[in-house]
Formats: sequence, structure tokens, C-alpha cells
Amino acid sequence: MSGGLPPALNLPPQSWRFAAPIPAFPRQSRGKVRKDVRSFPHLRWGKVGMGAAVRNTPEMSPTPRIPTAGFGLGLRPAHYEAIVADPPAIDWFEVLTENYLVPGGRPMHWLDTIRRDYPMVMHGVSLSIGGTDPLDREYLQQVKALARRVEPLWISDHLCWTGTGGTNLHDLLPLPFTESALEHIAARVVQVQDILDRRILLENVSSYVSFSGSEYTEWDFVAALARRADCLILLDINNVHVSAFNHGFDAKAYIDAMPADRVQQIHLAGHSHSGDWIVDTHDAPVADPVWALYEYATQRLGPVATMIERDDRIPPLADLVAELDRARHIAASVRYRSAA
Amino acid sequence: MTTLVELQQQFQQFVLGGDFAVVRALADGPRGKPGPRLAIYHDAYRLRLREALADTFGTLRQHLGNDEFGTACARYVEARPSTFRNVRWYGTDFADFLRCTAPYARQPVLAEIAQLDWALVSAFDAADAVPRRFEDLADLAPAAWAEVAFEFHPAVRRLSLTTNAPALRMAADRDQPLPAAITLDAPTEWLVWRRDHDTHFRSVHDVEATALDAAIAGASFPEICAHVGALLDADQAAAQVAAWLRQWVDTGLIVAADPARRDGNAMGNDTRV
Repeated sequence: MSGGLPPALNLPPQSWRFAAPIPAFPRQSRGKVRKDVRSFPHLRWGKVGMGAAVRNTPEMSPTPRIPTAGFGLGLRPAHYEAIVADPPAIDWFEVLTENYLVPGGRPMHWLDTIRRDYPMVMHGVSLSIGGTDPLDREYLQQVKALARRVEPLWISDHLCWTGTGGTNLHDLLPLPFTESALEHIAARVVQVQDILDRRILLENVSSYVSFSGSEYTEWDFVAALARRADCLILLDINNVHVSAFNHGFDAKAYIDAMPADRVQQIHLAGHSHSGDWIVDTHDAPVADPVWALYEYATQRLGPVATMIERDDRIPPLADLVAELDRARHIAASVRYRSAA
Repeated sequence: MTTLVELQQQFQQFVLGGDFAVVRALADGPRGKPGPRLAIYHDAYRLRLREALADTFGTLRQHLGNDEFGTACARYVEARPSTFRNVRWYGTDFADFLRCTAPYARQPVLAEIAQLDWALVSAFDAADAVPRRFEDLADLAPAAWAEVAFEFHPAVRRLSLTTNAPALRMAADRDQPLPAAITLDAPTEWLVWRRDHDTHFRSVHDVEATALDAAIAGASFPEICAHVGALLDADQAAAQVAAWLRQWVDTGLIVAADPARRDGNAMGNDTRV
């Protein structure tokens, strides 16, 4: 014991891998917005009245989708330094909301630094919009405060629930597609949108079980929710593929049912095929059937902001940029063919 | 008909405790019954929380080895279902769990390694604050020193440890083999802080620790000197406290120096971990 100063120590990067495939749940890791650089207009929208949730009416406004496309990547701590050293030619980054719901330190430093050069979108994992516990208003206020700092193009979370009775299972859990669930969730979406003062995007999740009591197909449920709650859709093409295989439905029918004017963003990701089922692991490059489905979706929906999610076995940034170029190429080919 | 609340409760009971009641509400898939696919959620919950703990408690994992660490995590996960919205905070009670639960309680070093790992992680993303420079304090009027108190950076943490957990952490940070764990004859005092986004820790002399704890609790400069004067030669106390203060300022611990508040709510944060 002494009053002397031992050499100061930095926190080393930590990692520990598991062999079993774990469904992707974007890693919540430790890792000032200059408003004059590539800043996008703050995305305001007319407030949706509470009545919207219980009326099965057409859209509240004619063009809900924000006219912004482009190609992005998920911002991951492993790439912070590479992004700053050699800024990649991508249009925006998607940040995991929860990673930046921390008081300060290096994660917020990197967020602010990279935000100076790139637009961002915020993607949450713990809204639990399909949950039955009351909405967590403190969490929503934290998200809103983060949005003031980041000025995201948009804010998204998942069409799922994450736990009940105050417990958080830290997973994107499946919902029964019933009329009562639809009504319940639509009312909650309206509340969230009123608090955040903007439309939110909800993402379809990969699921491994389905409920025998469902009254809707998943795609009809998603489309009905978007219309009823006047929200937007984050269409995860990999999740459509995964769930189509696991539950035996036609992935193209899912895409066909999507209201094109409400699909604001597309996710692409890799998965792990176990023979009898597919697990959404985000630990591999996008698979060929998912690329084919993306091409189909692009034909059906027109240009949609697209990004690749990678949460495990994260490759060098350049590899993901190259993978994203494949999405650009597919979207450009579709545009070229439709123009011809 | 099962309500959404009941369905989610049943689903959660399966994930947490393996209660299969929810299976009755599930549809068969194209390749069989839902049971094996339902198990994905059961396993993922445990693996994900274990992974979150491994991210935070790297030294403890290295000390115990993957298997033993995995067992300790599994027991913690079963004992403490997560109530945190953000999995980053799931390790909040891990050190306490190890301190109170057999067989881990028999090896105090385990809880103390976890305590230090957690202190460093919590300092890593603690709130930002701008450290004061020494010149800022030098500008204080002589009369102000009679009642000045200090606000510490939100990342500052104080620990009292009875094992060589810091030596294990230092070895882990240097990618060296960890030394054997030992229990010390007397507690040692440690300080964790953050400077320029880098997290640091160092040992603190007992008397400096007394001064530091008083200062963190909001004591004024004369009060800190009085605490130290009770342990050292009273004539030297002021000079010694001034020297420590200079060191605290130079290492970025102090973010404000203002007249001590007398409203019963001292300056500074709860830094004991």
C-alpha cells in the first residue's frame, strides 16, 4: 500500500464467444452534434390524435414516408476508429439507442464525433411496444433526450415484447397476431409517437414459434398496425426470410402485403441455418436467398433506405462497406430495369 | 381465451423457469412441434446475460476460467432475473451476489475482482464533467479557503479492498498470467477515475483516503484538514491536504471548488462501490 501512482491503465477491449447460435439482439456495448454539417431538417410530423388508435381509418396524412433513401451501416464500437481515420462512403449510420443511454464517457464522445460527419437513425431494442406492462415513460424521455442530441432521421424499435411484470428478458419476443393485440399495440404506438413527437418505425422480428390463436397473418398484422397507428415500417428482409422458413409461409406474399408508402427502411443481415429452423444471428454475411428477396422487395417497394446489420463476428469496416455496395448495385439494377 | 397478459406471463415463465404451459398456445411448424424452437428463447436469455456479464467482468472470467465463470453467471441469472431496460446494467448486483452466495462467499477475492471490474466499467461511461485546473483554485481569495469544498468528477469511485484483486486486474490488463489470489492483513484503499476518456485506478494511502472520503462527502478545506490532523501532526495537515489537493486537481478529479453548502446535502456523488 502506498500513495504512489502505479502506471495508469486503460480498459482493454473484452470479448468472449459462445458456440451456440444466439438470436441476434444487437449488442449493447460500452463504446455534440454540429448542426452545420450534413444536418437534415428535423423531421416533424403532424400529431396523431389518440383516436387514431381505435379507428380503423385510412392514413392520417398523405405521405407518411420521409423522402430519404440511401445506404447505411450499423455503428459498432469495433469500427469507431476506422470510421474517423478513413470515413466510409455511406449515407448514414444506424445507432443502437440503448448503447448511448449512458451518462457520458467514450461512447458519447464517439457518437458526437461521428455524428458530425454522418446523418444517423436511432434503433432501439427495449421499447416493448407489444408488452403489457405500462409504457416506460422515463425510458421514452431518455430516448427523446438522445434524439435531441443526435437529431436522427428517424427512430425505430421492434414489433415485439421484451418481458412482463417488470422483468426484461432482453429478447425480441413473438406476438400473437390477434385483433385485441393489434388494438393494444396501436394505442401504445400512438402514445409513443405523441411523446417522441414523430412517427416511429417498427421492425418485423425473426420468430421461432407462432401462436395458434393468431387471427391475422404476420404481414397483414404489420400492414394493419402501420395504417391504424399511423406509424412506419422497418422491413427486415432477413427476418422475413427466417420467419418464412420457420413457419412455412411465402416470403414474397409478406413483401407484397407491405404498404410501400410506409416502408421507411430496410434491414439486411446474416443468419444461422440449423436444418429444421433458421436463427437470426447477425454473425455472417447476408445470405443469397435474402439478397434475392431484397431484389424482389426493391422491385415492389421502390427505393428504400437500406442497411446491413452485423452484431457478431464483426468484420473490418471495409468488408461491410463492400457488402453494402451489393445492395446499392441491386437497387440500381432494379431502378435501371424499371426505367427501361 | 388466454389474454395477451396471460400469454406473455406463460411465455416468460417458460423462459425463466421452464414451465411448458405456454406450449398449448403455440402452433405446430412445418417441420414439427414447437418445443425445440421454443427452447431457442430459453437458451438465448441465459447466453445473452452471460455474455453481458463476460463483457463486464473480464478479470473475474480470466481468474475463474470459462467454465467456472459460466457456472457463476448461470447461478446469478437464475437468482436475479433482469429488471434492467438496458443489459449494460445487468451486472449491478453481481459483486454483491458473489459476496453473499456459497461457495463464492468463501473466496472474498471473487466479489472484490467483480467490484473492481464493475467500478472501472461504471467509470468508463459515467457522466462527463470538465475538470478544474490548478490555476482555477489558485485564483480563490484567501478568505474563500475557509469554506471551500470540492465537487468530484462523476467517474470517481472509491474502494476498500481486502484482497489483491487490483493486482489481478493489472495483470489482466497487461495480458499477463494472473497472480494467485491472496487475502491481505488489512484493507487497502483504491481510487478509480477517468481522464480524457481513459479509465485509471491507483492505490491510496490510508490518510489520503480519509481526506479524499471527507472531500467527496462535501467537507470544506478546513474540515478535511481537521480529519487529517487527527491522524497526522496537526501542524502539517494543511500542507499535506494542499499537496493532495494539487494532485487531485492535476489528475482531473475535481470539477468544482465552491463554498461548502450547509444545506445538509453535501457536494459530490456516491462514489463508494
